[in-house]
Amino acid sequence: METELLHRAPASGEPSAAEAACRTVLHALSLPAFLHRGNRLLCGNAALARLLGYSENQLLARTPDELVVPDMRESMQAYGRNCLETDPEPAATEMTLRTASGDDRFVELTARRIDIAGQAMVLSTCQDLSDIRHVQTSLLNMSQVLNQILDSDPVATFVIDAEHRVTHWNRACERLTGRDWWDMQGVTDKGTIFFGADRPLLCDLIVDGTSPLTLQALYQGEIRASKISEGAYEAEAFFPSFGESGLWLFVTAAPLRNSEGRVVGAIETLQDVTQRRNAEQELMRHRNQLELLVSERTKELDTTNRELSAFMANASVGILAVAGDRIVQHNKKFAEMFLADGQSAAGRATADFFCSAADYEDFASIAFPKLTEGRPFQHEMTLSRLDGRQLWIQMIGYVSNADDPAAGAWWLLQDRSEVRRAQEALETNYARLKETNHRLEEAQNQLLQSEKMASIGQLAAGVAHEINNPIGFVNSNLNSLKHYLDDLLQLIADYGSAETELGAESRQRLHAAKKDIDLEYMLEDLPVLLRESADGLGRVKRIVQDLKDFSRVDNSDWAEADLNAGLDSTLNVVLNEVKYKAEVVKNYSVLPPVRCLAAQLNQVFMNFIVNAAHAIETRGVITLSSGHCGAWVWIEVADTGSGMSEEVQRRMFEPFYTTKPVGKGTGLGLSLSFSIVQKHKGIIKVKSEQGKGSAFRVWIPVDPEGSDEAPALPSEAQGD
Amino acid sequence: MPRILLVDDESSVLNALLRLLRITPIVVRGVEWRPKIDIFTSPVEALKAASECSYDLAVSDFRMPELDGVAVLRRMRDLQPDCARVILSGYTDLNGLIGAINEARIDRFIAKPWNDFEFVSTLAQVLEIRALRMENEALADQFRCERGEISRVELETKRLEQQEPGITQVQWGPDGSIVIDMDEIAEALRHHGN
Repeated sequence: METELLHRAPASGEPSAAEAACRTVLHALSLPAFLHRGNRLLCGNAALARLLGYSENQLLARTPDELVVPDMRESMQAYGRNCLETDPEPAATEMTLRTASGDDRFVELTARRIDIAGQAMVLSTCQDLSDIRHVQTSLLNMSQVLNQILDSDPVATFVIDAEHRVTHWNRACERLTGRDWWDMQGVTDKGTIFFGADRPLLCDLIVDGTSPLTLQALYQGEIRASKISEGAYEAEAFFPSFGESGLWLFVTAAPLRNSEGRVVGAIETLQDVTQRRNAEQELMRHRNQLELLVSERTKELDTTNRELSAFMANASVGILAVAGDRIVQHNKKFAEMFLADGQSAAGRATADFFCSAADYEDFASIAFPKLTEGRPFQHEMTLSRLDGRQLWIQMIGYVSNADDPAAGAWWLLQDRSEVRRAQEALETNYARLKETNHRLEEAQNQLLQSEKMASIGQLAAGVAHEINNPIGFVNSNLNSLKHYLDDLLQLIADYGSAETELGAESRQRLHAAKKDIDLEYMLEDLPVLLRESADGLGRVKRIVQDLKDFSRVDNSDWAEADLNAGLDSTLNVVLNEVKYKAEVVKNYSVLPPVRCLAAQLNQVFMNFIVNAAHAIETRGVITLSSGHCGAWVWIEVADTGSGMSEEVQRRMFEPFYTTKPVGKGTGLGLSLSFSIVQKHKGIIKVKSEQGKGSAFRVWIPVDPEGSDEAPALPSEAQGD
Repeated sequence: MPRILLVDDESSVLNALLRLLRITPIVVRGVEWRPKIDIFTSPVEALKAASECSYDLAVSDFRMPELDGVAVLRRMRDLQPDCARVILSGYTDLNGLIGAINEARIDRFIAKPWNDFEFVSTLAQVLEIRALRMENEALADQFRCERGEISRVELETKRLEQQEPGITQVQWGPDGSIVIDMDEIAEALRHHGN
């Protein structure tokens, strides 16, 4: 209607003044504007002309609907008519104008009905919306891009606005939370999803401008300001409601600010760091475990170290580390053993502690080969303190590193000087004991023999007494008999001379009787018989005397004696052993009386004589000799028997050593003789040749008790 | 009549000595001395005899079953101090010798087996010394008597006692009989038994 109205005006053909004024106003407007009465334009201003690319006159030829794109002409017409006829102030509407060049211009068209000089006209102003539209489209595009970016972001991300409403909720977020964007759009109480309670999220707190301190308190230190964007925070927290058994999320929230810098929202990203966290935790656990292990090991090592040093310091053996030929370190004990107070041997040459260079070389030549093989080495030897005092040391060496024997060695040294001394003392004592034992054995043997001899002596004395009685009276009777016989013989002679006075018969009878008893022979034989009997009796007497002398039960003290006599009486005692085997040759010299235990020396002689007799198998000679040289006398018993081998000569003085058949010799004879002669400070010299015989010569000092030391041996007795 | 007492547990020894002394005269001071010889194989019997008659010389063996020679000669010394004492033994035991010399105060020790000549000449020596001693004593007594130191009765008593030991100590009963003290005899025998 209005368009018609406008169209009518020019139709009248006389533009009124009001119209002119209106045109002027129109032209003053910067906004594109035009005036119409429902038909052709009454007026279009320059701004419109510029917008549409028409001249003002061209504009006047057109109707309002011809200004818009064809599909909007009707609504354009309707809008104008509505304004002209019914609603003077309709709401603005958007229209798309078409320019001369055919481009489209979006405008917001606002129509107002104005009355000029009674005529209703429509004044339409255009607000060019092209730019706004462009911006809007751009914004929309941007928003879509943003949405796409957000959506395609694999990181769960959501955005809230200043009112805490959710404005974005990306796919990843949907996946993470299991909530659709549709459900979440505009939602404010997001806390229930995350925490199961209405609790502000980090983004909410940022939007609220919560202070960092409160944030720290809320997140219990698990929060920190982002280094990348200002006002943003990062936190890591566990969300039990997500995933199968809860998830660790790395949450970042950053404020969104408008162009004025005011916070209008916040964006929050949620990264599932469960795996990392678990890995981290695992790593941490592992690390802790490792650390624990390391600390334990360290502790152990510490303890070991401490123990080692304590052990070294307090060890009762000297401990020494040696590298090459130098001492690296040593303990206190070593210092005590080898050094003066306060001295240290570190850096010293090990050779300094050996008694001599030769010692060290000897030691090195046996120790080093073993050590280089990596084997421990044990040794005992004399070492020297620095002050020169010598110690008997037991040492054990180990190489520090078996794979590298050149690296050095540890030595344990123990002072065994006392032990050594004790051992030596023990050895000496043992030897002494053995010697004593040996002597004791000999003494016992001798005792045994002496006892035997003593009982023989007692027996002999008893027997001698018993024998002496018969000898006494037989001897006396023999004398008497001889006397009687002399008388009888005299009587017989007297009778013989008186024979002639008898008768022939009687004489004949007497003759016969004389002949019968062989008187002549009897008279001849009687003195011989008596002499021989007296002889025999004399021998019995002598044997008994010798037996008594030999046993000497009544005289066992040192006394002066004639050794020749002793030898004789001994020979008499053993004569029956000897006489059937050997001829005895005596070759005595005059001897001075010798102070001796005669009975014991007689035993020695007896042993020699019996041995000599035993050495002779069939028949031989035993020579008894004696001699005298300075302060010494000697008695020798030599035989022409079998002689002795070297072995026998070496062992003959050993107790119980015998070459005689079982039961014949005790093996004590010579050992006993040896000890008896020793008691007399004498010696026994033996010469023997197998098959030729032996000679035993005893040298005895004339006065063995005269001095402690036996007098010097004559040269004859020296050597063999 | 000089008397000799021989004691030995072996009779053969006694017989032999008897023969010896019969054949060989003991010559004392150039005089052949032919004594009466009493022999005993039992020491106790010998001592019994010794208490009955006086002996000039007693020869005893040392070892005998009942009494040893020392005991016999010791007892002999008690009974007849002037009798010479000799031991003839084959046994030489030091203690025995000490006893023989100190207790029995023997004049000689002759070892068995004896030599006849030595035996006889030893006896001769012993008897000679004894004779000298007794002569000395008799002379001294005579001298003392002459000087009035002892009476003639004492001298005669001593002579009698020498001749018949014990005769001066005989106890006479009031009727002139001899009193024999059995206790004393028993004591003497017991002593011998030792």
